[in-house]
Amino acid sequence: MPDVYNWQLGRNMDYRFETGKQQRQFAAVFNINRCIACQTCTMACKSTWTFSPGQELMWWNNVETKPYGGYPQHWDTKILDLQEQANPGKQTWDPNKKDAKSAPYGTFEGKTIFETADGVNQMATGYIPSEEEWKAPNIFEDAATKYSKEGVSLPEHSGWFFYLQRICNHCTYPACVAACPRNAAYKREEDGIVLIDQNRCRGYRKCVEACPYKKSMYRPSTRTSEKCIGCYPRVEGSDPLTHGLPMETRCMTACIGKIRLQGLVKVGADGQWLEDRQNPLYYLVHVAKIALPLYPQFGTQPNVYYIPPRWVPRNYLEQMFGPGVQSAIDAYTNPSRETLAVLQLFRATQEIVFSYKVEPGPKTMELTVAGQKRELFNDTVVGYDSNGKEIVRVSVDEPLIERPDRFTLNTI
Amino acid sequence: MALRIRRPGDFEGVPDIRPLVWILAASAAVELAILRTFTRTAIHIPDIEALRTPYEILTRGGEFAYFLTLCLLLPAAVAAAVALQRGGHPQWRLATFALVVFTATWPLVDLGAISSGALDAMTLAAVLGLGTAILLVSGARSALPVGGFVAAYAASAFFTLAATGDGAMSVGQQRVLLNTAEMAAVVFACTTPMLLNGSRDRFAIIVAVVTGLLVFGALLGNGSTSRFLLLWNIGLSGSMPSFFYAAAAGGLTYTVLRAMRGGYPLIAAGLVLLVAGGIGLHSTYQSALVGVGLAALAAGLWVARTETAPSTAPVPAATGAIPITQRA
Amino acid sequence: MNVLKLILQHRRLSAGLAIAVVTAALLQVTNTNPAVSQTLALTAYEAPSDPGVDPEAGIWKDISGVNVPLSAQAGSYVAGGSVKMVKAQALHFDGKLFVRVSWADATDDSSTTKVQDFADAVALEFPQSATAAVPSICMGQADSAVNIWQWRADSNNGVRDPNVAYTNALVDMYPSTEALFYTARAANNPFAQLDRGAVQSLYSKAFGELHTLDFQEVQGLGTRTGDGWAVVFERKFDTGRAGHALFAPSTNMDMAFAVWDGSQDERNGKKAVSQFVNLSIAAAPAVTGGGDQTRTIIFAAGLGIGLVLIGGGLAIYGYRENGD
Repeated sequence: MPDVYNWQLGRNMDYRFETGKQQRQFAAVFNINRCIACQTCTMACKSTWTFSPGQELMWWNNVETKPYGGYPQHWDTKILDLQEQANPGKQTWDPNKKDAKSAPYGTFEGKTIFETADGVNQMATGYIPSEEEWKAPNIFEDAATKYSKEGVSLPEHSGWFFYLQRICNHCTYPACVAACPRNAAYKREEDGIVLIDQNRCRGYRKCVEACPYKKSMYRPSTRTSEKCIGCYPRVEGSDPLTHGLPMETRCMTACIGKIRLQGLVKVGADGQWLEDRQNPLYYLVHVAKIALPLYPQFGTQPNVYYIPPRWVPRNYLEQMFGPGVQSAIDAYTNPSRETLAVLQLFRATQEIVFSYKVEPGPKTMELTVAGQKRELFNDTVVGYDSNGKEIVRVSVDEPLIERPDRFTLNTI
Repeated sequence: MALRIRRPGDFEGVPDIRPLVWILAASAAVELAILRTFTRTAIHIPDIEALRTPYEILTRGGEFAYFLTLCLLLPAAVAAAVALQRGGHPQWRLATFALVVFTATWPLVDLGAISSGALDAMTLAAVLGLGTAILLVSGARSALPVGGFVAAYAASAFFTLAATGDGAMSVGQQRVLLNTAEMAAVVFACTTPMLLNGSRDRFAIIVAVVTGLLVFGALLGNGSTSRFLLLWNIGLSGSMPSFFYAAAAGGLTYTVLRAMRGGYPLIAAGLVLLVAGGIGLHSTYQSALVGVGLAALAAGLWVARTETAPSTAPVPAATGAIPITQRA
Repeated sequence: MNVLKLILQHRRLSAGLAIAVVTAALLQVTNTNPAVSQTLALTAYEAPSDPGVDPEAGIWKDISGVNVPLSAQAGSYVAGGSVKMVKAQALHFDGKLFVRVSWADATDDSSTTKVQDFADAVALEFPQSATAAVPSICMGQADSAVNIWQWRADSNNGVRDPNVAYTNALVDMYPSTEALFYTARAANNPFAQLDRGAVQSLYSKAFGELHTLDFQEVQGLGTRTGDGWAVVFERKFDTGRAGHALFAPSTNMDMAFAVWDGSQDERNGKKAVSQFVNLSIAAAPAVTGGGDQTRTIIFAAGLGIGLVLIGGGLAIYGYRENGD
């Protein structure tokens, strides 16, 4: 089995296929702190792709309430449990075995889902959630761990919950691709989007079984499995609105909480992101290090990154996002001028931002946050498309616009 | 020694079967290696489509080996029968009779003169007859290996015969037959070294251990494919722990190598033919390989026995000539 | 020189060998295989009337079949299935082959509406063309493809949308229900089409390369028996198309079986399989009564014992003669 590099684990691992000749990788950053679980993303996806007979239980995008919620129910704890059973007591990280570039969060010393599988009956450890488990996509909505009579305060709330926004992670090492006996599941070279060839699929549900994030779903009306397609026609630039330029997916652009930023990053021959300092995603993940992968220990190297919620107990978050949680929260709580500027790019345009530039602005405020003195500057961030053309310009301070006292049309 | 041995060229009217049996064994081994092993595992070679031409050439070669083996089988069976008959020992009459019966049946089936059931019965009878003859002549030494082979073959063949028809046998009974065949076959392979007397062969031991380890590794590494080859090529189900098959492969390798190096080419060829023929009823081709293989083994064992026998031992009667000589 | 000397020394052998080589080449070129299969045999007799695809048809009660063990060779297939044996029967009528397979399976898995549901299924596998050695039983091989007929219990029932399967399901609306929105169906996935019958004719020459043949001509129907399934397959001897197995009266064909038990999550390679058996298409009508094989066994046993006795006699005689 080929030996591949997984930077999120800080080590090499076994995977069924060599790293491909991929050019770009679909990636996104979700800011959990800002999500209000309005499910606009969920409905944007549903009303675009999964509204037909057989797709009733299919939600390629879903927002679930953690720690109790889950779609399908308890998907994450069930996989964690299977992994723990396969390698009891040894699913641990060594945060000290670090390398700034190749292992920024230390080294995972446990086993990935590929490494605990027997390689014959299963290519990746997993299970098929039953129909009942898919039936209540928002079960335990807003259910906190307890009612805190005295109220809650940072850094860790005593009673807590948070929303987890989930789509397919378009993993660098997808378990669904490894599991498919017919090679019907595949990863595209042009953008790393993972798809299931609807012509080849014979509904064995090996991908449903293998995907640890449970984003391959079975459709009884065609007896095949379907999955999030990363809105690939939009990412390809087929939407007339962007005149052939890449556009973000439906779930991203619909986000009213401005929690999502999606793009395409450059990828090297080893499957890793190439240094691209001015790509906002590269900056957030590899430079500012405020966005972390979801369950990196599964070993699929997922490409959706999360800014962890500031109020949640760290041990829970570390189980979910790996050892980088505290430093990510620190960097988010006290953002640098650049980070603050880049965060303004979230939902500023539908077009994919390939690079940005920060234009410095004047100091507008001095304040104290968590005992630390802070200064705010009204910097401006400029976003550019794939051709280097400016597509968006946003300042840190929201501009104050005084409207005339009377409108001629559409007055409220 | 009272035994008089002649050079191969000295025969008058008695065929020397060694070259023919050897060519047959080599051809069958090539067929087994290419047609029944390589082409069935080539599916695992990545990018086999790119190697289309060499693959085609190799497969055609394997196919030719199959047809050549097929063409050599009948003359080899006849030659072995004549040689055994003239070998000067009455026990061989049984072997000759069994071989002739089987050889004669084969063309009859092709002509549609007799039913396939009769052919299966004849095949089984021929194997039983040849086995009995060997046991009678070579005695205790061959009891385990030859007895093991014949028992495995018979159990497997009975299973095939019993599967047809309603309620002939229950699933449980069929399984007993298959498991018996399995165990007996492993006993055969592991005990083949008993067929040969004399000193140990260190080189053969090394090669046998390496082969055993390779088989063990193959069964552990890619158990599904390896067991499937075992089933298809040798007629074994692979239901026992891998160790037994490794031991079997080692035992057989050792005996074949020792026999080759120690001057018992007929024993070596006979064993190769038995492996190529496999356990149980597969096709007339494989059955004939087993038939000739047993005949070659019989001849080889007879010479081995007379060579090592003390001078007071019974000498082959009548002509005194041993046509199936092993040593010049 | 040495070779020449050897040839001269063994003139008769060399001549014989030369003849054998020429004959072998001739057989290879003409693809004539004089060897006869001796594995499990299934005979397709000529039926007096059209048996149809109904597995309950009376005619099947009168003909004998063969019990084919599946993964009898336990452990042969790591991911092996759970069904231990199928009974196979065969008939032919008016240029059509009928194969009836029946097996025990306590659970009726004929719906694949739920994600965790897998269907019971059975498949017949034939080499696509006769070759010297039968192709790999595992999905064929590069130079020797296989034709597979697969019957599935869910196809037998007909593929239904979940809102039809769940009669009490409440759905606000489906904005569009055209075929385009059944993605796999719109992508021409033969497996996702409606009304394609209970049987699919497939073609394979490598793992993961299984695909449905463009032309589907295998009919089939399955029914629940008391304790399992009975399925009849029907197809013309000759479809006149590449990729489809070809049959003819008075010929033999290799054939293998696979059975999936849906309740055991069996699908794909997780199945119970047989070795190749020998399907012989007889020119003559069925002989009723299944006692002929039992007679063969008794005959074989008798012959074996007889030979042993003769051998024993000869041996004693021989020793005595030598001892004198």
